[in-house]
Amino acid sequence: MTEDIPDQTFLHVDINSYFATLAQQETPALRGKPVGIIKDVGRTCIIAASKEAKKFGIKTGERLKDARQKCPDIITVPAQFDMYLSATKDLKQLFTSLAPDVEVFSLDESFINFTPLRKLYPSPQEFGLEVQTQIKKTLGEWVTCNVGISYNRFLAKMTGETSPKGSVTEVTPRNRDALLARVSFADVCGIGMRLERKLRLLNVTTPFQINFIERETLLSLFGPFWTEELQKMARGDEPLFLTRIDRNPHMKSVSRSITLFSLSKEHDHIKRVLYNLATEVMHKVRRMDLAGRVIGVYLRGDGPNSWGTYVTLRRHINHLSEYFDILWNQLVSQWKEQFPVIKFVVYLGLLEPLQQVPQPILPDYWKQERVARAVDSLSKKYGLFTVRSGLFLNQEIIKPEVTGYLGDKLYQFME
Amino acid sequence: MYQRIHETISVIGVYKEAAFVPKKFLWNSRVYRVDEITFVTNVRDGGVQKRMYSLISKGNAYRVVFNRDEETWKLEEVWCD
Repeated sequence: MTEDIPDQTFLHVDINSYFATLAQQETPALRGKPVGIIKDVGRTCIIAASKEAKKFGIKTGERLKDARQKCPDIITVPAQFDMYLSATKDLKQLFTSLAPDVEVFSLDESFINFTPLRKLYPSPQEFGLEVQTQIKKTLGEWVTCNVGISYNRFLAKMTGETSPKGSVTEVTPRNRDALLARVSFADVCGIGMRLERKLRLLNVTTPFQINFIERETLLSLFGPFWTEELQKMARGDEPLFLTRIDRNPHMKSVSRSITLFSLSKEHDHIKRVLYNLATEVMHKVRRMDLAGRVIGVYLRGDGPNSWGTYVTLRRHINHLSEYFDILWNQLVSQWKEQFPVIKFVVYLGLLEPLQQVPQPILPDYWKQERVARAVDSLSKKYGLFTVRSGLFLNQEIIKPEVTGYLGDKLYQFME
Repeated sequence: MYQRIHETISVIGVYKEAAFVPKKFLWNSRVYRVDEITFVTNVRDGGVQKRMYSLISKGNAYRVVFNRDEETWKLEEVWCD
């Protein structure tokens, strides 16, 4: 790489306050007002805040009660997950019409490789401005985004996320260290709360400060993996998780979680919720022609109450009946000190493509497979839960929804 | 907050750049002129495809859904302050 022309140039596009901005775009009465997105009517956690609400210090994950103390006029709006996913698909279509190498990183963030476009645009900044214009044309005038530009995705993302709303900023080797010395570790993607706290105890608050610590000290405190990762970040190099994005040919695991409105202590209700979540997990796994062999469950109550376990099977499974049988009869039956549950998580891991795992020859398996295929074809045509267990008779069904991280993007972007 | 209506309506519009653009809708024997389309959401559940148009008529916000399989229109929700 030379000083002036880097080997590669990436753009990081981050839609500002995605959920709240889309709500304001859709409903003009909300524009310019402090808006807090909640998961549903009656929920008490702000899952996204508009830029106007953020000015009052309202943050994602804040309790509605606390948010109302900071801003009594905050307007709460239930989330529209279908809308967010639809908008992300529109953005993906837009970006792939502008550039050949695009990676959707999360629901509201994408990377665009500008390198193949160098002859088409005078500069990456001009292209960044064009992206901003096209986003407004696609999603609406109210929708703004930050564009970060750099010679790798780590720095492009860092500058995009820490610059003023609606800006286009570039990091080069010349101004890289200034950025690394300015940005707090709390704002660095890939650094969790615990690691950030541990670093703060060492008086390390920015990536650049890592350069002042001896490697041996880092090794003794953080181990070989994080020493390597932190030193990469201190130099402005891409950490491992960014070099791996979109390199997986298939999903490694599928999970689903839900936090209920209130604690559930009724045995049948707990079973129904777990079956509901397991149905969605297995639907996705089968839709992607995968099978898994790690089955896990996690339950959380109020206060410190939590319990979870998993089992690794010798063979891969891809039938809901077998999956739930193991989940309920082998795993949940181990849950001895039961408590009322508010959060439920189920997952199926160690996924492999169905063609790459040995298939049983037992007639029972193929009987189950014929039933599963019939259900699959009905779900494909009429939607998930068209065919459902008698457990759901006259009961409300928990429908699928997307998360901000879009961990199941390989599934969501399937044709 | 949007209030649920879920009533069948009639819609007329034009095709512009290969996409349908609603211009007016008839609800409860009253014609509502579409002043602005603020958002279009495509929803797919299995093979069932729906398109939700978020519309503004005389300053009021409406959510109108077109079921692409049944070719039916519904006024799903109305914004109430």
